[in-house]
Amino acid sequence: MLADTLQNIKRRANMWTKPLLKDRIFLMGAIIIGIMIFIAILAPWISPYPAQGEGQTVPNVCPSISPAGVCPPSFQHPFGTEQGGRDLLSRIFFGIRTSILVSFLVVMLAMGIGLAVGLTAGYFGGLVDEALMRITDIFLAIPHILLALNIVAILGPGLVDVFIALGATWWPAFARLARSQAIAIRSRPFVMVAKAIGAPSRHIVFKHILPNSISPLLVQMSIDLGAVVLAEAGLSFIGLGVRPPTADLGQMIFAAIDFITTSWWVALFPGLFLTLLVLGFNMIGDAVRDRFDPRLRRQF
Amino acid sequence: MSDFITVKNLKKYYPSGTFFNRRMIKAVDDVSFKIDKRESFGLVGESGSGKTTLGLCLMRLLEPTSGKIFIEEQDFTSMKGRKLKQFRATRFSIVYQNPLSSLDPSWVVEQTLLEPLTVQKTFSKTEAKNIVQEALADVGLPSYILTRFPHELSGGQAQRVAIARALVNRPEIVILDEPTSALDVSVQAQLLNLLLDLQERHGLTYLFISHDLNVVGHICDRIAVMYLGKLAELGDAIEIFNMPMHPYTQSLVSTISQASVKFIKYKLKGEPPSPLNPPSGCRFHTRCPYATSICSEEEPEMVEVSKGHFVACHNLELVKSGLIQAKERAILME
Amino acid sequence: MAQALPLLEIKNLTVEYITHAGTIRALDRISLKVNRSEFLGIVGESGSGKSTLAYATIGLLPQNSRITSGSITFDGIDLLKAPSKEITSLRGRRISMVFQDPMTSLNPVFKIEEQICRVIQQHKVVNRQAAKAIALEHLAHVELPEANRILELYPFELSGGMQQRVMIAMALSLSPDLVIADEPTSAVDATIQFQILELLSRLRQSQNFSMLFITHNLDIVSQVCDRVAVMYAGRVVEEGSSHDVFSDPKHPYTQALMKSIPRPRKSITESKRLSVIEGSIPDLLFPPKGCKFHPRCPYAFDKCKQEEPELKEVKEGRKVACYLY
Repeated sequence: MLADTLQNIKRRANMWTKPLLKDRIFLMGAIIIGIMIFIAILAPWISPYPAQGEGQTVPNVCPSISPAGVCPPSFQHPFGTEQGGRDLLSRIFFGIRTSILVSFLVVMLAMGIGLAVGLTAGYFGGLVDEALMRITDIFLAIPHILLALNIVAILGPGLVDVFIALGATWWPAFARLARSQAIAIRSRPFVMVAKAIGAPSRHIVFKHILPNSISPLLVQMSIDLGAVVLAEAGLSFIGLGVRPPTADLGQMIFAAIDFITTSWWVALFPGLFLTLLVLGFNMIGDAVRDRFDPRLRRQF
Repeated sequence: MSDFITVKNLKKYYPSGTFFNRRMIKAVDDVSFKIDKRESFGLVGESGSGKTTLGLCLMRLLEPTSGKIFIEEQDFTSMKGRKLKQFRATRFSIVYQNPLSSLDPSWVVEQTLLEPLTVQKTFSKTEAKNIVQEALADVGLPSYILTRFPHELSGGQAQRVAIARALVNRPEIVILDEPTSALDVSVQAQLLNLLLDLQERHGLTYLFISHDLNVVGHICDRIAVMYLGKLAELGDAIEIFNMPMHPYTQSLVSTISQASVKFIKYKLKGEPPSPLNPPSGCRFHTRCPYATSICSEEEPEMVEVSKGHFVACHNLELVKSGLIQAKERAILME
Repeated sequence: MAQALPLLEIKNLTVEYITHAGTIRALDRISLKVNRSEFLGIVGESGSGKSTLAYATIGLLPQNSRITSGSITFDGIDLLKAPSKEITSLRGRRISMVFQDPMTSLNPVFKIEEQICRVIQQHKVVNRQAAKAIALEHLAHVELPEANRILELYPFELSGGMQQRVMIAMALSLSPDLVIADEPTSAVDATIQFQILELLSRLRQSQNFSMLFITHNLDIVSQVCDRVAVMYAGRVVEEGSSHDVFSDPKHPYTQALMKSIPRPRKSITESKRLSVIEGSIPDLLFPPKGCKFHPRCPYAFDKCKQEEPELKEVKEGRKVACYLY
């Protein structure tokens, strides 16, 4: 049975991927993100100065040009160095690592919580639905910056804050999506039939409602990846995220403000990569949505 | 001989309206009838008649508001919990109109067919797979269909899968809710023949719900005609189609192109009233050519006009003479 | 007998759909004529191409379609070659369409008045008052009571039958020459269906228009249409007056189809079994060689498997595409 299920999943997955691969936007986005993931995973090995990427302090290589250590692009430092003399290229590679890690984790967490809450609320309805949705509303009302501020105040700064703050504020959207899907699907004849043959609720929710609800959530997920990257960078920019010496694109941009008039490279390159990252995710998200948005009535 | 299925005073009401203006949608209002074993019982009516609701109530997929259902002398309506689920899963099956929504689109056919068995857990994996193979062959489908998804099948094939699933749990009673309405004429013919074969082979009892009078008139042994939640006429199919006694049945039957009652000239005016606000007395009186004052005051009782043939009408004499007159006129015209 | 020029003449029309699985030939060299004040019924099952025919005529084919041959001439105008401005002005004014499901073809967020008047004002230079008057007139024609009240309603406030009458009123509001009706009664109940068909027959007398009536239901075709064309897998297989075709079907498909329609039994000795057409509708991605019906035809012989028969006149006004004739 497991072998069959795997085969079925493979067949369904193929139905998704084949048309996507023909979409040029998807391909572009996929290439960009593919490269980014490659960078993120292999950062320690492909960075020219991995130790600097991780935050090691180094001696200033251009004391004559900049006492702070912000050196222009050169052969040894293709993107120049940032404050403190650290190689910008390596820092960016490690920054991408942070961004991708956080965005994937946050979106996975949000989707997990959202599915659990939304499907339960949608399938069971009544009081359960009301209660769960009111909780969702509360979380929906909290802006993530405010939440992050509070968490930093309690837990101190760091990656964990970002993770909790973003995860806690992103799941309601998924919950609502999951709920509306569950409501739509629970009255479909095949669910009635499952009830008629005596299937327990557990079976119906996991085997029928879940697989049929997931499509719009996956679309939302692919769109959200880019948004979370940006949100994370934003939090770090205002100092509520990861702390130095951990590399982070948002934080690098913040630090570059002081040097923006004299050293264009310190702001440009992190910004450029951040933009590319978000763009890549957005392209994938657009392509996936175009193909699978249930409102466009496309079927897999 | 004891009756197989007995329905007594079945009601299904839905509350609606606001807190200050409570109303009831009487989807099924005090319906009683019997179904014999191995019979094809047709339930006819237009949208809003309550026929689908009645079918779902019979299986208790919808809980009746009140009334009794007896299956082979056992009180089905009072069963609860596990006993209810068990009883229903082993005695009943349902086939819906649109196979694309009655089959889980994310499941392959084999999973769908195995579901009734895996849920009940009475068979081992190999036994279950064998039963599924048999059912597939029973409905005339080749085994490669097992690995297909519903949207990869044609309408006829998909509906056969739905029927196969309905057979897998060896039911006695199959509720068919417009099983061929979404299919082409030629496919419908094949499927109706299939249903007949299966009925003979497995001794099935069918509750055939449809708005298509041609199909019901052809396949069914006895029928019940519903209008706005009440039974208008009940009896032998051939008798009713050849000599409909209720004015509503008459107008329905006269819409069939080769009806033997084409001589009935009146056609119903106006729209069917809304179930939220049914007319007083006999629900049909607002569109009935024979309506008299009593019709707007009192609801008619079911009267037996001939053996096993029941009609709910106050003015049966008027209707009968109207029918005879119309027939004579038609003969004169020829 | 001198024949007036037909209002609509379709000659040798071929329409193909490009799908990721291959090319589907939905219409294969179709030739049809609709005369003035004539109701032509197009009967067919899934895959017959009848809807494609409707949409090709009104110019609403989907993007992945290609018209690879033929012409559609409407009152002397070649619809396939005319500039799009001309087509847009024709559509609604001289050729209009009634769709199958009124619930989805009427815009749910606009009142009926808005919808009808918009159509009228698109083609006629009149103010809203005048448009409203025309709308009321046509709502009266389709026998909708309290037309004034109906104008103020939203589509969901009307029943299926009333919605369909509104659609018909809209279609007739500019006094078109040709109305294309795509399964106009499939979404409504039997008694309402009957009323709508009678309405169409009456309107025909009073409003003087032609209709291309597309349906899968053979019974209702004979109620409303003078002539009928039976389609199968993109070809017209039989054509003639509806009375002739249904009382004396000549093509094996038409014959088999008529026999497979269930009818209420007249006596208990009558068998419940229906006569069926063996097999199923051909896969249009890989259609059979020769006559597309031959795999299911009880009379098929060698020639049928080689060459596709053309639609030939077998007697006055009667055409069949079959080598038996």
